[in-house]
Amino acid sequence: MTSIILNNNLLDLIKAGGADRQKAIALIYRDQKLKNQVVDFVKKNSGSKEDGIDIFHEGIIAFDENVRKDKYRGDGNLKGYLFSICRFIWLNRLKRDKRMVYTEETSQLDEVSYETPESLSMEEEQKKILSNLLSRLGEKCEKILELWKLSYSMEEIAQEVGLKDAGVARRQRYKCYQKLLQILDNEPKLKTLLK
Amino acid sequence: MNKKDIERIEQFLMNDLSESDRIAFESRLEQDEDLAAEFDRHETAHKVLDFVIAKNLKADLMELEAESKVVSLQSRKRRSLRVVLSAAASVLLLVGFFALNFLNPGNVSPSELAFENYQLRDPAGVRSAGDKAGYPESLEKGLDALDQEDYQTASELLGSVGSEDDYYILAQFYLGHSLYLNKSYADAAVAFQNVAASEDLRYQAEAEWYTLLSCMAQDQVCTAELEKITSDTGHDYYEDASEISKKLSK
Repeated sequence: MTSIILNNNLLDLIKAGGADRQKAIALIYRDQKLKNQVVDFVKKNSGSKEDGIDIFHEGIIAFDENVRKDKYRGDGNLKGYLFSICRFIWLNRLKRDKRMVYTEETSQLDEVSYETPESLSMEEEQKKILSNLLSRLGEKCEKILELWKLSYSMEEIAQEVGLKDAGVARRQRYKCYQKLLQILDNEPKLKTLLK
Repeated sequence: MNKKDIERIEQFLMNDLSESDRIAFESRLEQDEDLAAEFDRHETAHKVLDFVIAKNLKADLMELEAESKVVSLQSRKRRSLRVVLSAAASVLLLVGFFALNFLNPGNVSPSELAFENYQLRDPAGVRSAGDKAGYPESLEKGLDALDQEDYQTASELLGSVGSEDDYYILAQFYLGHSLYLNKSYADAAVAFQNVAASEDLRYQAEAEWYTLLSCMAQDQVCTAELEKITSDTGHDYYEDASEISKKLSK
């Protein structure tokens, strides 16, 4: 069974991006004990096993973003932090869906708050609009920009996307980014959507 | 907007600025409207990229989730191979499929639910315990074989631990797992039943749960095994079994 012991190493791997980030996320994901803890919590609070697994996924997504954006710097226990995020997301979902049952757990909602990615709170309609926008950007551009945002080097981007070299990747990255900005300029509604 | 300012915006959004540069940049943003407007454009673009990352990570996690159900996938793959090799088996499978849909219109078969719920648990910490001194040799080697995923050897070794042995129940428990992982579900059910019948509290709840899963893995509805757990609200697997029951009755 995998155990999350080396907090700082994992954080460094996520921040390093690329394959290191993937390894770190897989390692966290395989912490069966933590996963069971999250699933058990959700099941005890009006959810199903599937809800629990979904919340575990969303917790990892939020955790990944918070680490990359330096919102979590390894203070305290990583496993405890990740569990708290999952608990926060689930209790918020119950609140949003008006399924909230007042318990000791839910009372903590007003006291503790965790930053979670906007994508997690987006409505399906909003996700559809964004997906439509991305289809205009094109798959290759989407991939290049995603890898760039994840701190992949230009060499790695070239390799992943099948470009000749780092120089070509750099030029493509610039062009794709300009294209994205242009699409957004023509869609002022999107800005509001992402606020 | 000059190139340097654009670079600064990107460094800020990519979290590449030092603490002092970050503070200085934030202060400029408050004072410079043009810079703030340009920053808004780039910030929105980065939010779109955050959405892409979250979306793709979600897909990766779901893939990992599917991979973690290795037993299920491997079993299905192997079953598919057999189907290709044997026309008779195909007919039987088709018959089974229709029978199953008749019994279970929710389209989730008992075997699928069994594979979804099966997980090799180690209630006594036996396999992870470094000190296996005192175990009969066949139990020790059987557990090693199980850890190495050599289920055939594990089944033979664990099955050879006699009923007079102090470790018989423990051996039967892991024999059940070895047989289950070796797709011998009927035999696995028998081994788990032996453990459950011993009323050894260390393994009883698990044994009843795995008896149910071994039965369902054979695509049977297993009402008696299911009721044994769902009728006891204090059972360790009450919630899991109730969920299965709900899905089967859909």
